[in-house]
Amino acid sequence: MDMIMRFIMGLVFYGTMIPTYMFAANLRLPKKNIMLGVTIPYARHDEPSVTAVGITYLRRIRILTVVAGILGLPILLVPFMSIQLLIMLTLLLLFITGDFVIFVRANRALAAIKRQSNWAESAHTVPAVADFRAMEEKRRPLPRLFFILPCLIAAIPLIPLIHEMLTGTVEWGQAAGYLITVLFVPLLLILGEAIRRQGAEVVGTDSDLNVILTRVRRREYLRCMALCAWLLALTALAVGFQTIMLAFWFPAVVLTLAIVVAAYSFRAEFAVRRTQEKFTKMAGYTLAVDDDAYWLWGFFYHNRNDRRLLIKDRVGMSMGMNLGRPLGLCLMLLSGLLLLAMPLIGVWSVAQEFTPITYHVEGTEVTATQIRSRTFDLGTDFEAEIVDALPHGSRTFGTAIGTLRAGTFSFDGIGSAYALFHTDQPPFIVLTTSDGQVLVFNFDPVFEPLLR
Amino acid sequence: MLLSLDFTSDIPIYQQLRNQIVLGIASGTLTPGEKLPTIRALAQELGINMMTVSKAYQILKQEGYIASDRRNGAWVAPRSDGSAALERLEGSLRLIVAEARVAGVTADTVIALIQKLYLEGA
Repeated sequence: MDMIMRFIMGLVFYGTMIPTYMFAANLRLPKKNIMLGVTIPYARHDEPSVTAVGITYLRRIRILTVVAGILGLPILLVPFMSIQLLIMLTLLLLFITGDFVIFVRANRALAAIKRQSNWAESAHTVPAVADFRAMEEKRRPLPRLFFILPCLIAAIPLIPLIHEMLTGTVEWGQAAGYLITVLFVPLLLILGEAIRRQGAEVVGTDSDLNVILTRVRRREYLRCMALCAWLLALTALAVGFQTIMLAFWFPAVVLTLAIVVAAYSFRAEFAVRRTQEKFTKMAGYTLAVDDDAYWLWGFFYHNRNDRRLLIKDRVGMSMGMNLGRPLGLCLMLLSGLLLLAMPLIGVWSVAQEFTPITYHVEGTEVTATQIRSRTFDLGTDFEAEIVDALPHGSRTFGTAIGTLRAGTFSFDGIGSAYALFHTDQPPFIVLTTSDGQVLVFNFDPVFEPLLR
Repeated sequence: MLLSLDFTSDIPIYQQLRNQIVLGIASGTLTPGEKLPTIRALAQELGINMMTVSKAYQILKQEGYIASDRRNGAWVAPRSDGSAALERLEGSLRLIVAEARVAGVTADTVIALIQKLYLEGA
């Protein structure tokens, strides 16, 4: 199991690093008239000073990737899962931040060259461009069937679940996993609708090209959303009917979904980029929008005059927030904070795995402490049993990291129980309170007075 | 019809919208009867207030360039006999001619310029 976890961690780490490198490396190539987030006139793309910035950028990205790859090797060697997680999350954060810093440096260098050489595009200096014919694409209705069908399929297990709720036989851990999964499916329908209303792609004065490009971008995006909806629906179905036990399979399920969706999104992103480049060339570079003034470091859109919250990126098919709007700024700060807080999950896991468990018994009150304390009153009529081995159990809610089991678990033959023990420290004590609550701990001499 | 706005210009946004649609009609990019985007869609596309688009459409309607109703939205109006447009033109040209006179531009040059722009369909 330890080897499998190390393999999964390594897969997540290198599986995130490689596409991130590919994405970062791709940014140096000109897309439309944009290089490394700076609008450079088409005629200047091959200037030696411009090429030099791209080469330096690529070299730095490569060095960072190799260093991060080597530093990540302990993930495959360290035996403790929490330490693997801490190393992985910290390195990923440093890697993504490093990539971003390198990008910003290249962007500023290129912007300086552009400023010194007076290369600002004079044709249009604003992002507000509309093509009436391409806008017609927005009127085409969303193929709702692709989204409604998975919503319906995902909802099927609701019928037995409601029955189980009414009869009081529901397994809450599994049910919660199902309900969370099922809620994401209609969200994709809402997201699909938002994508449908996105602005048209305008690369030139030829409306036919703009129409086709808008259609391609929209189609690729909707395909991604539909794929996510179907995968989530099938997962919800499997979790809802307990074909897969979420507590045991959760990492594998999440990983598989992430890999499939990421692979498809990458394919779509690069397909859109290729089409954009091809069509811009076909359009004959007739429209050269230069809206660098609104793009901070070529990455963050900030325009108080623009009322839109969601802004489509200048290159590719992704979207970003308009930081010129208070809500956009708040959401972006929140996302940034979440990203920076990533290693805290690792710190928390290390604290959990390495904090010793202590038990305290006073009369019929048992206190189990590990980071936080929980006290249980066993009542007058309780049962205590010492066992050398516990039956197979699965996590309903809580932590199962390394040998630590903390939280609510479901054990074969015992049922739902509160657990706080290390699996490698037998024997175990199983306490059943007078009101039917079951507690499972490592046996400790403090429990001896309870063995009547 | 490609429409672009310059937020840094001194010309108000609604005026830029109005002017570009008139230019579109004049050049034949927008043909009589052709539907225009809805106020909401155009405002969303350009990231501007709906009231700004609404004002531009209102002016265009008053000037007879477009027609609209609640059911069908706005569309390019059929070409009129030009008498109303001529009246408006006289007002606009009076100022342009005065500016040309002050700048020392001759009548022949102004006429030649207007003729050139007219033939270009600008």
